Order: sequence, then structure tokens, then C-alpha cells
Amino acid sequence: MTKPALRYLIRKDHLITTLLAGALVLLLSLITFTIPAFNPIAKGLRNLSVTDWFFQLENKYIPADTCDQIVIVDMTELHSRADIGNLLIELSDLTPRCIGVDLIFEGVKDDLEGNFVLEQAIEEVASISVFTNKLTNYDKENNTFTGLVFSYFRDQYSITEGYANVVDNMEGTTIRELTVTQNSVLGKQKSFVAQIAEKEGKTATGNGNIIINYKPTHIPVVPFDSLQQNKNLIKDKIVLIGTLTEEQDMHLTPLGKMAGIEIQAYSLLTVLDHSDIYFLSLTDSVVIGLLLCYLYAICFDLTARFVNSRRAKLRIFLTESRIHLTLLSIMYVSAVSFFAFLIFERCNIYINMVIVLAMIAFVGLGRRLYFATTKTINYEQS
Amino acid sequence: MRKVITSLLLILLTSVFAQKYYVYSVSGKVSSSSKNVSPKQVLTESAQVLIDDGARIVLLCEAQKSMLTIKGANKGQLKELVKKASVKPVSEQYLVILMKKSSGTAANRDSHMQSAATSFRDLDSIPVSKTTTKDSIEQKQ
Repeated sequence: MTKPALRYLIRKDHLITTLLAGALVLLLSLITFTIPAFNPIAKGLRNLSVTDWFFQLENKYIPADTCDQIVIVDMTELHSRADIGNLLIELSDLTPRCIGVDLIFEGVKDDLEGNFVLEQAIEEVASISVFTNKLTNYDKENNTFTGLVFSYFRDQYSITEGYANVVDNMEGTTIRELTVTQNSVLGKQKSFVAQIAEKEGKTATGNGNIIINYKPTHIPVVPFDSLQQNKNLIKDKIVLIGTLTEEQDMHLTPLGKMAGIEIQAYSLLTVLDHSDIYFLSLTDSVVIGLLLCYLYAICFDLTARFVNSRRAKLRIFLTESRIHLTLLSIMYVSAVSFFAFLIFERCNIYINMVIVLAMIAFVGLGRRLYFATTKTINYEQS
Repeated sequence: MRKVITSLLLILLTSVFAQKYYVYSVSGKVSSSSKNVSPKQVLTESAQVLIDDGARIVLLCEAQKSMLTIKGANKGQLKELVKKASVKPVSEQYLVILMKKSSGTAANRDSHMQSAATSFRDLDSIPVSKTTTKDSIEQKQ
């Protein structure tokens, strides 16, 4: 690279424009996240992730692979404990590798006959099964759950249990992450997904959250009354039993409304394949954002030079309409988003695009502020 | 007079130090002093309990930190019945969870991770039969 070109690329005004854009985003974030009046905006921003858009794009345009590890058995229509018990026995005869029962049988109630059938089934499948429970009553001070909702037979049979809690905080926010362990008064509790993975000989580690990989995957679904017809599909697979169409167990995900059992299946696949999305840290995203702002500032400058070198008529039109700036910003933001998507798709790395795009959006204002200040200072001196 | 005071003291001490059992769950008909026993009730070991055939009562004992299950037709003082019970030791923390869960006195307004991706199958969730769709807002075409 020639010396003048290098000197052009490393210039004070590009750097100041970039830093001003960063400072403006910082100022805006401080105002939004500290002043209570902006709470709704802050809440909205916290629940904003470009991964949703990326997953939607992938699921729309990339053909889904059929999952060869997990099968879902839909038993939405089964309510009687005896029927569910019989389903478990029938399933056990088809020799699945592991059974994940995404159901909580709360309370003994009065259905003694139903309970008896269910308990017989539990005894038979206990060694290869994992059942769900629900952690309740979070104590923020001690970061501990002090309550637990579980199936009534928990104390009668040695069953493996994992919590089915999801990270949506009852706010109807999008479920993007899974947790591996949580503290409770009973000690460290493992999630439903982590327990199944452990039965499969894979350990999900870490106290932090893992981004659920919603990449295009077709998970086979077998209706509860067609087990025999699909016995080859079930043999030696991880079978998740749950409800696919029950309204109480529907959640919001990047792919839209989804049943709890499907979320568990995607979470399990993420853990089994170790294919969780690597989320770049805030610092890394800010550094990338600043570099992209710098590049954008150079593009801005080049465009300005291009406009200034045109004939008078075109120059006046472009300066007044600013259409070249609009086109530049659209093209630049599209290019950045496209490359971010490619990195996400190919390398499972997510750059915090909310921060990056917000910084890019302020480059224009940063540049105007810089030149306005320089002109004011020059005017005073002259 | 001394005998009366001693007897009263004895009765008082017995009632204070008598083993108490917290009723965690009841299925089928279980009665004590001609009244049905219900969850959350506290029974002393001197209570006369009648358990019908096919019924079951699960008790929690704070002192022994255990969960006791008595099944099938049984009649007598609770002190005698618990000898036939299947006993499962539980930790103090778990006992607290069981009692809070049973009494429903664990309200906490923090919503952190309070949703679960699972379904419940207690008997209260049996849906209305397909023929009675009065409360359904779904319109079939």
C-alpha cells in the first residue's frame, strides 16, 4: 500500500468520528438504562436479538436435516395416568435408548387404579428415564430456588429428575437460552436436558446460559397411538414424551410459537452436538463495532470526495437530496448484516449486532458534530 | 390435690412433647375421630385413625425428618400405625419444601425462570369431553 493511501486511511478525523459515534451510543444507553422513564425502551432493547432474524432466515432458506438422535412422542390427548402408564410400557418394549418424560404428575389424587398402572410403568422404565420437575420461588438475595413442584412418585422410586424451567421470567420473552444447573435449597439441580445428556455420556458444563441452536432440523414426531408402526424410528433413540399442542405449554421462540417439548428437543440437540452458539463478549462486540464505524467513516469521506468532484448540477442535487448518504448507509448496513449472518451460519459465532448497528447509525451524526466543531473553532480563530 | 396437679402436668407434658405428624397427602378415605383426615392437618401420635381398604395417607414427621406412607385397611392409634408404615428419610430442606408446597405458603414475587417447558398431568386437568364444547371458542369450519 502506498504511503499517501495509508496516510488517508489513518486519519485523525476518521478516528474522532468513530469515537464520537461510540460516545453517542454510550450516552444513549446510559440515558435509556438509568432513567426510569425509559424503562419500556430498555426492556424492549434487552429482549432484542438479531439471532432471531438469523434463525428465521436459516429455517426459511436452508433445507432441514432430519434428526437421527431424538424422536418426540406426542401424547397431548392422553390425560389419564393409566393411559400414560400403558404408553410408557408400550414404549419400553420398543427398546429406546433413553426416555425423557416432559410431564409432571402433581399430587396423588384419588385415581388409585391409574396411579397403580403408572407406578408399575415407572418401575419398569426408571433406569432409562428422566422426568421433569419445576423449580419455584426464586430467592434473589441467595440466588437459590426455595421450592420445587414434582411428580408424586418421586419419593417412591429412584427416578432421575431435571428441572424444565426456561429463561423467560414470565414476561413472554423469547426463549433463546438454556441453563444447565441452578441452585436450590436441595443443592445444585440439573436441568432436564443436562440429565438426559448425562445418560448419553455427554456432560453439559458451566453455570452460565447456553444459546439454544434453532438451526433447521426436522425432529421426527410419532403420535402416541402409532408407536408400533414407527418402532424402527424409536429403537435405540432418545424418545421425548410430551405435549405438542397443549396451549399451557406453548412458548415464544425465535421461530415463533413452540411447544415446550420441542424447545427441550432443540436444547438437547445443542448440548449433545456441542453446537451452541458462541456469543462474543460485550467488549469484543464494541471493538468490532468501532472498527466497522472507522471503515464507515472512511466510506463517508470517500463519498463526500466523490460528490465534491462532480459537476455543479449533480453536486447540488446530491448535496441537497443526500440520496448518496442514504444509499451508502443501506448498502453498508446490508453488507455488515450479511457478513454477520455468514459468520453465524458457518462458524456459530454471534456478534452483538444491536450494539454494532447502533454504533454505525451514529457515524453520520458523529461526523457532522466533528466538522461543525472544527468549523466553529476555525471561524473563531479567523 | 397433689395427684391432680401431677396428672395435669403429665397431660400437659404429654401433649407438648407428643410426636406430631403433618398430613402431606391423603388418597381414599382416611378418618380420625369420625372426621375425614385432610392434607395440612396435624395429627398427634395418640390420634385414633381409620384407613379404608385401598386408601393411603402420607405423613411428614419433623422430629424424625421422615416421610411415612401407610397403605391399605388399618385401624388404631397413629403411634401403632406408623410402625407398619414405609419410612423414607428426608433432609431438613426437603421437608421444608414439602410442607411449604403442601400449605401453599411460599409466595415469592420474583419471576426469575418461573416458566417451565413442561406439561402437568394431575387429575384436575382432564378436559371436558369432546361432545360438550360450550366453553370452547374454537369455530370448526
